[in-house]
Amino acid sequence: MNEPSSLARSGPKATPRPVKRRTLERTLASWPLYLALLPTLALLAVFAYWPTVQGVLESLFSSTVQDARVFVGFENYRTLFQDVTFWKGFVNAIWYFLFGITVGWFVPFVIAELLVSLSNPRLEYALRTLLILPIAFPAAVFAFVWSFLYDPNDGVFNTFLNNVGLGGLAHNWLGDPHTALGSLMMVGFPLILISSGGGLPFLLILVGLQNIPRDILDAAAIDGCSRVRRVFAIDLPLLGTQFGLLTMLALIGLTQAGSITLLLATNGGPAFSTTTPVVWLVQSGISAGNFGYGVAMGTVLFAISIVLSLSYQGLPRLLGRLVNRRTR
Amino acid sequence: MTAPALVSPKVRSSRGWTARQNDAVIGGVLALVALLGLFPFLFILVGSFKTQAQLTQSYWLPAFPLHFENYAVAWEQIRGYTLNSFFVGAVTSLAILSLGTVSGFVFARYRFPGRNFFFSSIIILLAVPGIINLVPLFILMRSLHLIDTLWALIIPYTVGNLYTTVYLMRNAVTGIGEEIFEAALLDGASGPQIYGRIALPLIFPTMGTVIITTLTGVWNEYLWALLVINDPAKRTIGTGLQFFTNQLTTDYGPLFAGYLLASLPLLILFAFASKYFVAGLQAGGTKQ
Repeated sequence: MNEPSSLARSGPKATPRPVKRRTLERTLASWPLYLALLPTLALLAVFAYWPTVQGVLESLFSSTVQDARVFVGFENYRTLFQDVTFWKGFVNAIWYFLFGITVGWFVPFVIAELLVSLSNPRLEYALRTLLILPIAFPAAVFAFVWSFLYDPNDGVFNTFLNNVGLGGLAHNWLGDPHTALGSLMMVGFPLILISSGGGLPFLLILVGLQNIPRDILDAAAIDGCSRVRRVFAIDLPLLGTQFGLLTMLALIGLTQAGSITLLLATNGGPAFSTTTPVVWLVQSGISAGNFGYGVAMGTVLFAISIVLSLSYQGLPRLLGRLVNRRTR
Repeated sequence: MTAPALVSPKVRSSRGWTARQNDAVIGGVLALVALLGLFPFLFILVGSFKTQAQLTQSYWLPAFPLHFENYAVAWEQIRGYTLNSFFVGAVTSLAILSLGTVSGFVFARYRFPGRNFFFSSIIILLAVPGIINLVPLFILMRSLHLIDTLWALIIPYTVGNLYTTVYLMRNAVTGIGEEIFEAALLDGASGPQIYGRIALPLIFPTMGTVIITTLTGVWNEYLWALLVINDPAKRTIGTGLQFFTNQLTTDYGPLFAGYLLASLPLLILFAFASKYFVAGLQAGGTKQ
């Protein structure tokens, strides 16, 4: 293979050389590069870009199992805005979000702070490993194990309550519309809360705390900064990036939550108490065969997620960071 | 509090405790939290050796004799799911690595018309939530007659991880540094040679992260598999375990044994590569 085009002399930040001329020639000479990229680009075009375009078109049709596809214009969208279950699911997703950014951040933060306060590195390593060990279990196992804990007859929670004489509190945790959503949120308590990103909040916060430069902490200690004061004066402000990313992920999760519901609570739980937009999309859009309606839901969720990201000012920043960032 | 003496907080905390006392208290609290987190798994580990009668009699404590046959019963059921997940994971990892490293290398090392356009068009997918493509991709898979084949899992898993990988690989190659490539170029190495002999070995750690992210992703994925796989012989871990759970509702011993067996590959991965495991999760955090 002949050398296609000059190897980039320096990283992406270097000023592009002023070669406006003979673009066609350079394009032709670069054919091996395009050939190398072709499989990736083709795969993404067919299985990432094309479905999106196709989907938006499909949302203008109604296609149930019996009927043939019928063009219905924006009818699917109109139905969607009056679909009580969809919006009920959205409210549930907001509860997930609120739980995630309060309990889902507070517990990992406290534990990470305690972990970095340890002075013995071996002890720190051992405890850190034990604390994150549950992330090594597959999500489905995690969910089913917890569903056993919640089991009304043989479950650990009810057995425990009965054994200590609090049988009155025993409950059909996932079967009662009042406790089902809360029970799903608590899966993985205390540290690996599946509904709020699994082990990710803890890992990100911990890395953030570990990356705080030693000299800042030493300087603060010399100035008589107490351990508690350090949390508010140093740690929290310096964790801005991590919390920014976590906020972003929580906002994206707002439109994507639902895997855990599908695993544990059939049909979105009793009286739709645990349904989420994704669960409803799967049920009414795919399982019921009404694809047009399903795509309409997907598109609306996508739009909501874009609006949320943009209003958080995260998207331009995130994209800018992704494109410009160089490793280290 | 005493006057601020010039001692490092490593030696003496603000309350005047020694570091050792400090560690004992905090370590104790953290050990309790860790135990709380691991308790459900310890419980099923103990329970996986019990018969139903033993579970009723001795709910909290181990019961003897240990019934290892629970594992045989469970393995009989989930063997197929495990093998399917392995196959899907292996093919997906291979596809992602070969496509991702080549593209990452090209984007990092070459300048050519359309580079920024192509790279941006790949990167922007990072910001597109997968939900919008759920139904269209299902329709596409159906019209390609791939429903109920493992390809219906492999292709979307590959595509879903590909853009993150291209991005990670481009960064990894960019991070290698200029000199080594220029030296190779002066020695007359061709593009493919530079890719194979220099870039690939140096981005090995990133490849490890990608493999682990992919395998955990495949092992954890549930929603999509639920949609495209109905054939019992094609079920993977996620959907397979659900079927398994519904079958064995009242036979907890084998059920727990099955859960542990299904977790074993990821646990082994975690034991031997927990550094990559954690790095992979963190890299995956930017994906979703």
